[in-house]
Amino acid sequence: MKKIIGFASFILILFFIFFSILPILWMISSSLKPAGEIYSMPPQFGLTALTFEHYKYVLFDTHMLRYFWNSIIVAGLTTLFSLGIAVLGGYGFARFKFKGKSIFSVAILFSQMLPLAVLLVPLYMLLSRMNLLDTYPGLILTYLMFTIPLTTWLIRGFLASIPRELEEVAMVDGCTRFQALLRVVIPVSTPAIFATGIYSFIVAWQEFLFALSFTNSKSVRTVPIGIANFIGQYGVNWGAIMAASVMVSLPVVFLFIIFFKQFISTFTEGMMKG
Amino acid sequence: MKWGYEKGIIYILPVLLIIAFIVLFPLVYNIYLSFHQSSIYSPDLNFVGLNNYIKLFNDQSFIAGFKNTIVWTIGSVFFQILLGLIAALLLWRINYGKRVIQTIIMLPWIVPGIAAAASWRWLYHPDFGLINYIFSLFGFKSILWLGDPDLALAAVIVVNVWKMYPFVALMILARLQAIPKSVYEAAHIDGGNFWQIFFHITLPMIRSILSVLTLLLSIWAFNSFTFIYAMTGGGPARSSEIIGLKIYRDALKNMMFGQAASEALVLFAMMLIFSIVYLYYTYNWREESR
Repeated sequence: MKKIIGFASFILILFFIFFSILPILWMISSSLKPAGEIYSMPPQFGLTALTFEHYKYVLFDTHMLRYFWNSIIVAGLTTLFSLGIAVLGGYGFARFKFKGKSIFSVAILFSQMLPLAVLLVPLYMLLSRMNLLDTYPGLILTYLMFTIPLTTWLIRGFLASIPRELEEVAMVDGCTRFQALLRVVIPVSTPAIFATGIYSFIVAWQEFLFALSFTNSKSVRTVPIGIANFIGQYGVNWGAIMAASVMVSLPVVFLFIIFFKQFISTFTEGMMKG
Repeated sequence: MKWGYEKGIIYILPVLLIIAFIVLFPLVYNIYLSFHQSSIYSPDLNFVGLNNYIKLFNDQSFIAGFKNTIVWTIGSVFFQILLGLIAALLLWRINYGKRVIQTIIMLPWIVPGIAAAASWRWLYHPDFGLINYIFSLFGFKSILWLGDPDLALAAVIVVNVWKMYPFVALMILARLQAIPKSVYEAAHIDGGNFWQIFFHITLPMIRSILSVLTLLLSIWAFNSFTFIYAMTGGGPARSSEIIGLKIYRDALKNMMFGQAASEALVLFAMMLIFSIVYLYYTYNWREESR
């Protein structure tokens, strides 16, 4: 019996590994094949003639480079702003009592559950009134709505586990509370802040619906929308689409693999508490 | 040292402002919009009362979209939980190469949605796709995965499951690893077999995280947009159009803001009712089983 279960587990693990990785490997290999081999039946499994022609095409013959720049600006600034706001908010929630505190925290979690479609139309009209459609600030502001609730929540959880004595000592030594936050609390919570920062970056980097709805020019449009337009184009160039897909995945997969442990522990612990 | 009451509000003020400005205000404004009408020909908002709502229930495409949303949500969540649970149980038992295998299995969750949509569209390609090639080895003719009204929605559900089951596995695994080993040692000494241990120890331990995950995944599935938009565009013949996509189309393509707002509000009400009923029952059930 034990042997059967062991063997079945082994087969199942293999299945999951293949299921997860095969579409990704196929994406990478298609991006590296010359056009002639991409459209061959049966498919070419070995990479006999490696080529970077699709990457060159995507980078230099399309607007994709500009879209990458836009994505970096938008995701980077979203991360910075959400960390600043979430550290303050998380600290406030972890350390103070005030009227309606529980209502506020419920409201923050609740906002995470709202269907995005409910926000689509009113935000579109709001941004259009403020002339923020098709601008970086408009998109960044929208993304804060995605990132702030969870980052605040995760950081609150982490800060609550830091002993108060740490700040009290700093404040006895003459720091104001805010200085104590900056000089004592933030340095000891860097790993957690960093992990939530990565989360914000990943969320903003791959967001689709609002980027699609709120941008329409080359100067603001982000990579995911660029790829979607690629697919929609007449005469689909699959090699180029796969190359662009690999490029949009690389930064986030890279961040994930390097900070795997930190990211997982912050995320799971934070979710379990919530 | 006194931990003041009044100053704390300053720290959370930015959070509250953001939430008020981009969540609460739009929500209220959405309700207002749903009682008004505009179109691509007359962009001004006119008050029309409940008209938008009445229209919805006679709108075939809304009803079809609603059905698709239900199928999409149930199909996605069921298989996400099922595969995620199995993967978590397997990962939990591994002693060798655990981190590498875990990282590999997690990858779909990290790959951006649009890249996943693109690569699966390529896998599903009727003439040059890998999936049709594999099926052809077993004698199947070329299948139009995304072009067949009976298959399109299911084909995209597969992608949604692929993307999210790693997240489920991650959360369940974290919970499993928090169970003390002694619990299992005791069960083994008492002679419990594989299934007995699973149903009497493991499952009760992860029940709470399972119910949280079910709710979260359902909300996310209700909210999905990217996969359907990028893979089928709701087609063929609207057979895979979910409400989210219809709202986008009505609002931003047809400029029917009021109509879109009322659709969004109905979707929101459905989710709210589902969440409340779900929480009520899981909570009661857990109380009883104690």
